[in-house]
Amino acid sequence: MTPQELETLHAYHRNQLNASERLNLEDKLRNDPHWQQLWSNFQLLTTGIQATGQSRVRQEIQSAGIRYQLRQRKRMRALRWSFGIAATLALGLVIGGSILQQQKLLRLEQTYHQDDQKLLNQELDALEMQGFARQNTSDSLLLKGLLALENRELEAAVDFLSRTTNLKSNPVAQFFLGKAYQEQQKNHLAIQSWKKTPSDSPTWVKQATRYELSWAYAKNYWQQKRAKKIWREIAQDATDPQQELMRQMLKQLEK
Amino acid sequence: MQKESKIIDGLRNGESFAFDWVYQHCFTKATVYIVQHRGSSQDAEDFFQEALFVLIEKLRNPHFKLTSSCATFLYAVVRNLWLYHQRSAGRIISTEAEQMLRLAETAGEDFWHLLEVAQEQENQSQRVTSAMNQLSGECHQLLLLSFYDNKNDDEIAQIMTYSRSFIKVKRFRCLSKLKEIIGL
Repeated sequence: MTPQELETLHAYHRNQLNASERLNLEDKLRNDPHWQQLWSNFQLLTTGIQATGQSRVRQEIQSAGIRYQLRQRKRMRALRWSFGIAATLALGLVIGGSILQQQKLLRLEQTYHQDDQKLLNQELDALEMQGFARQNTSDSLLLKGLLALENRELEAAVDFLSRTTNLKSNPVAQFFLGKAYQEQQKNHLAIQSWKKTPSDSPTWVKQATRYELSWAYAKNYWQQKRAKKIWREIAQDATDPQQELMRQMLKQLEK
Repeated sequence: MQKESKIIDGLRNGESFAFDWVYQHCFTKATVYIVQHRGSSQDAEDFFQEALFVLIEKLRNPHFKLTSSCATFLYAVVRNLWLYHQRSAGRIISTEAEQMLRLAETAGEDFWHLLEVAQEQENQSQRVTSAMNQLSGECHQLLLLSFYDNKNDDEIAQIMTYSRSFIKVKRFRCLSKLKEIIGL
């Protein structure tokens, strides 16, 4: 094949020959074995070259597919990492927040819990005055329970005070039974006891029970909402001796 | 719209950014369709690649005009290919086999001769393809530009920074070399 023959066939292939040139070539392709061979070879070569071009395109498409998958994987990995970091941070904040809150509450409890002893002493004085200590009545059991509590004999205190409340409904015994349980670190039993305080209890018992109950709730992170609810009640109750205290404490908490 | 025409030009010229863009913007939709219609993600990849190949082959035809967006075109092609694949699963193959047998019975020896010719052409085409890889980079590029990309000599001269007259000489030499490698 000469360069001229190649250019002629190439031009024919691309449909760039004029009418007479095309007719002339087509005549040769029909009748001339040399040109027939040339055309056959040309077609074979161009078909092969086109197949090469197509395979190149397919390779480019596949490479783009691989690049895309790699990018997607990278993106997913980044997403997983950022989600993990965010979750860890959130968990840290919740745990850290709850610990700080708990510590703050414990500090406040220590600060504001000094009046309990006064209450106990007042009640003991009152009962001793009545001389019921040696009798086996509800009141004498209450007195024994209160004495045991004062002497830190907690099991005996719980025993006497439980028996008192079992004999008949006694708001004072109920309150101090809760206190005894509290001293024993049995927070849930203390709460149960205070929750049983009768509605017709003396005002000081109701107020003291409410106060103690709020602190018991405050010790449990998941029950702190209840504690805050009671504190708000106390802060709004002008008759409650702890009103001012609660106001100050709520202020501090809100800080 | 301007961006879309840039992408189409990029696909036509085999530029990576265009392929990446197409994957980024059209692949998910096609995957969702195939996966929702009992296909796997591997099917989605295969059919999307086939559709992209169809689009590029269409774009190479100067008379073809893309009237929709690339994404719509690709989605439609993927959908049609998948539907055809679903319909033909198990059926076409047997029909083709039956047709071949019927042809073999009616055409007699001619059929086997034609089959041999087709097989021979396929083999020769594969020989040319492997011979292309033995050519120099310049020859490889020049032949692809001339016979696959259908660029005219002016365009090739601009791309390869040769003179127009040298293109003709170089093309002749490269084709002769290719013929020599395959032994034509």
